[in-house]
Amino acid sequence: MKTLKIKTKNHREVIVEAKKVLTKGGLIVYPTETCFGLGADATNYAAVNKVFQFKGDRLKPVAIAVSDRKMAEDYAKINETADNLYRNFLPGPLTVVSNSKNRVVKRLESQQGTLGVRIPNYSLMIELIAEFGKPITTTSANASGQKSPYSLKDFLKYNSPTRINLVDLFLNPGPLPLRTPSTVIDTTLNEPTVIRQGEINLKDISGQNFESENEQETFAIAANILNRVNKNQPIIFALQGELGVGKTQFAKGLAKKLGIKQVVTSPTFNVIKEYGFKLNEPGILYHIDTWRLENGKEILELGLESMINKNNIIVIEWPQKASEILKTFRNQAILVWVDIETLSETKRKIKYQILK
Amino acid sequence: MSLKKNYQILAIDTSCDDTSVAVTADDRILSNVISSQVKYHEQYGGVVPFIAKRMHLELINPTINETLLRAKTNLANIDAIAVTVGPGLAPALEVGIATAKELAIKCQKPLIAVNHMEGHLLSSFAKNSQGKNSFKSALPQFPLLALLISGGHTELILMKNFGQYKKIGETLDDAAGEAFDKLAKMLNLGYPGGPIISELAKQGTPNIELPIPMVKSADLNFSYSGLKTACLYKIREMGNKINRAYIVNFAASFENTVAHSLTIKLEKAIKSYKPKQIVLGGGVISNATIRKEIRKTAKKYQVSVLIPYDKKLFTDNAAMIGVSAWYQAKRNDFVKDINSVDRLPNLSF
Repeated sequence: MKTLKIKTKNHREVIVEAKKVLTKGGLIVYPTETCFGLGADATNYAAVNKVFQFKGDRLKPVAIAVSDRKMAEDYAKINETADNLYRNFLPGPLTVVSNSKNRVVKRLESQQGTLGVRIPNYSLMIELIAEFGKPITTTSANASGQKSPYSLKDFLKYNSPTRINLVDLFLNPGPLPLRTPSTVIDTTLNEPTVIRQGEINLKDISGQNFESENEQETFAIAANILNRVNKNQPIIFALQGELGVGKTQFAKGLAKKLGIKQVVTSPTFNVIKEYGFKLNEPGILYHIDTWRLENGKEILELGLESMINKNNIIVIEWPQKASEILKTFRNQAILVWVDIETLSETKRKIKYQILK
Repeated sequence: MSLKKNYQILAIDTSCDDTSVAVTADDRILSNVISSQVKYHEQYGGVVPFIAKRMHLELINPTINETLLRAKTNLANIDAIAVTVGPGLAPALEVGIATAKELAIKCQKPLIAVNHMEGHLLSSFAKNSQGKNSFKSALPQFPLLALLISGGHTELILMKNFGQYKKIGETLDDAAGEAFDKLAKMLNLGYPGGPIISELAKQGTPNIELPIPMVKSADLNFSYSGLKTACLYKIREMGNKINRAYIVNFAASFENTVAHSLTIKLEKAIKSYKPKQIVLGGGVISNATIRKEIRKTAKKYQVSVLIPYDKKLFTDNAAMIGVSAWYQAKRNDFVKDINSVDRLPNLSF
């Protein structure tokens, strides 16, 4: 491994040397605003292979470093959320995960085909990547699970000679400040439009739309709607409406009407919560939130089919993702689509319709 | 019954996104493997967005092997198997439970069923392999107050002794960690929200007025849905005027508000129950501002605050399950009939 000291006046030499190594499919260790990174041509299979050999873990995806937003767009599909992050926080210690355009070595991507992209806030590296014209890998220059190096000394101490031998060039500006590794944000999880609109447009049918001034009224409206639905069949309540509109409050209203004493809390984290109740016969209230699900089909993996049972009630928040699947159960259950809209900070409009 | 020394437990936790397996010896952690950190780049930080059952099935055996290897032990040396039975995501819990039962039967080891939240509560008492943790006093002092804050839970627990817990406060809607995720979503900052909001908060000034949830309620419960709605309205009012400066100030204001909502109830609980110690658990305690505010409040009443010795123990992990299981083993709390063990997705204190 060759070490090249970065000085104020030798940037040209550094770039030329590093480019040479990268072009030949070699490995460089380079400074960033966080720790030292391990760089290889992200489009060269053999070079990327060496990165994985160094990391010692063949399964973890590795992010890429690009010189600017434009280069990022060549390799990743940048959605609205990602766009917001690029505009406000890059270059900087942030890795933005987007769907990959499959133009880098596949192993760098996750199993789901996403790719982490970052623009290091280190001008010399931005210059190098721009001149190289292609992204390079960015991952801390240590074996998987080991400490991240902030100096040449760290690097030599934490890594075995075999690992060090994989590296061709170490770009050394001296020790780096101890800033924690970049924050990673996955922007592929929720469709950004989902908080603005429901998928199913419910009409204002007289007697089927209500206004609520507060939580108590929302509880009463939920109970009222439940009363109007024939209870000889399982019921699915699909609650659509933006974040913070009070979908969980509606579910609480249903639970109260069913005599459930337990506190009904948001199912976002757990995806599903269940509460037993007893009207004439015992039943279960399933409270589901698809917010963290990648796609609606996963609702089947939760066992939706087995929940659709005579006395059960299923409440689904963010039903848009699963609307096609929910519709397939129309013959086995009553599908009540509920739309909650904000009229003011406390006032809500609640509409419902039984989808046939 | 007294347990032998160096009582080794193989602990499994598949309560939510992560497959985690640990080996503990008494209250010491010999290895603690969390699949998201093994399988994915560490920078991807445990975000496993899809339903975890398939993942758990795929990962559980390799994770067990890796954990035994790292602990330099093998199944023959293990004295008991421990597994999280709840609370959590039912299909995910099932994978861990099935595996634990199978191992217990195959290797003829006793099985210990653990409450995931008891694990978080006891995580401060976990020690590293050398028997050290982050505080001096060797034994907990009762009554002890636990504040557990994570993506799925926000609760106050009064602990009178090991095995004697009482839930004295909980969230009525969203968990504190979830509120962070949802705010990040509203500001279009992606997932997970906790780390990025606290990172941004460092650069901001808390100058945006947000309502402190449940400030007037006399009980010890929490609520974050009203705060969520208030945030939505502030953000909507700003419309296109939202810029980086506003986002960082919003993050700082939000973090402050959540910290206060927690300390107000904590203070009430301290006054009512006069605890000798406070322990913290759950992923949200990674937030430095929240920890600082909690310490400030506790200091007023000269109560010490204990946290786990390693950040890895804040979030979901199997080592805390192993430690909890060891305390259970000491009070002879083993599973009597292995076949009867079932998932308890709504398990509570």
